[in-house]
Amino acid sequence: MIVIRFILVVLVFAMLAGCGGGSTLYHQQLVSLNKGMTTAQATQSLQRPPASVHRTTVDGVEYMFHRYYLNNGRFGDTYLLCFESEKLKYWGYVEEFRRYPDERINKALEAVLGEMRANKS
Amino acid sequence: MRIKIWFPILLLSLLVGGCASYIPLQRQQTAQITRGASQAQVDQALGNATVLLSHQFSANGQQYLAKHYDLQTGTRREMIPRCPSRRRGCMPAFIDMPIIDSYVVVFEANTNQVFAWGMVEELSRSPDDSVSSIMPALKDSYALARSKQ
Repeated sequence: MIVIRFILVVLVFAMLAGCGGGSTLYHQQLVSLNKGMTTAQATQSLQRPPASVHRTTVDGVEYMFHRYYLNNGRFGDTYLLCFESEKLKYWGYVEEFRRYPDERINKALEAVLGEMRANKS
Repeated sequence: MRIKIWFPILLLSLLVGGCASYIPLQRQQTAQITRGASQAQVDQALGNATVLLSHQFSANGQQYLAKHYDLQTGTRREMIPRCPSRRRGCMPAFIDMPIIDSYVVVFEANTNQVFAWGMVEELSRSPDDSVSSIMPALKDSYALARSKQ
């Protein structure tokens, strides 16, 4: 009986830890971000490491994407930080990146999403 | 006995008073802001919404005035226990709580016209560099003004 209780407690803690999500952001945290931040400054201001980091080059310009999850009340949506030449250029949901008026960033996003899909499968 | 009557009344009036003095912005109001509108036009459009903080700051060699509001972006339903009596126990009651976000309207100080408006987070990542570049100075000035409040 004691063993079952112990397993249940461990299971509950494990589930709660899973919910916490090391890379899950809350909307209030986004206010601290500013364009031009370095990767270290952005990570420090969000107080969370990204879930994954992706690099791509478009027309000779290097892009780095930090992937986070933004809490939407029930779970997390993919939320990306884009660094152009090591400086924070833009951040937002995937759809917001697609609307962003810079073709290079649109292309970089698609390349990175392809990499994310490939890593999943 | 008297204090038993007066204390709840005082508490209730304080709570009601608190509600009356704080009015968050609504989307219908922000939809009326247009680029280049004067401060008076914006004040009229935003009606009685509470200005949480107003401060001047300089960025890129220009002077700006920022007015901060809370924008109501939705509501969430919260459950609170209601316990009318010990005998009947507690019942769940549901109340709608507003979801708010920081909203700011920035005016150019010399022309007194709207320069930028939106949620603080939204303006920080604006594709328009003339807007996003003033945001670090705005946030620093806001933090300083808040610390003095």
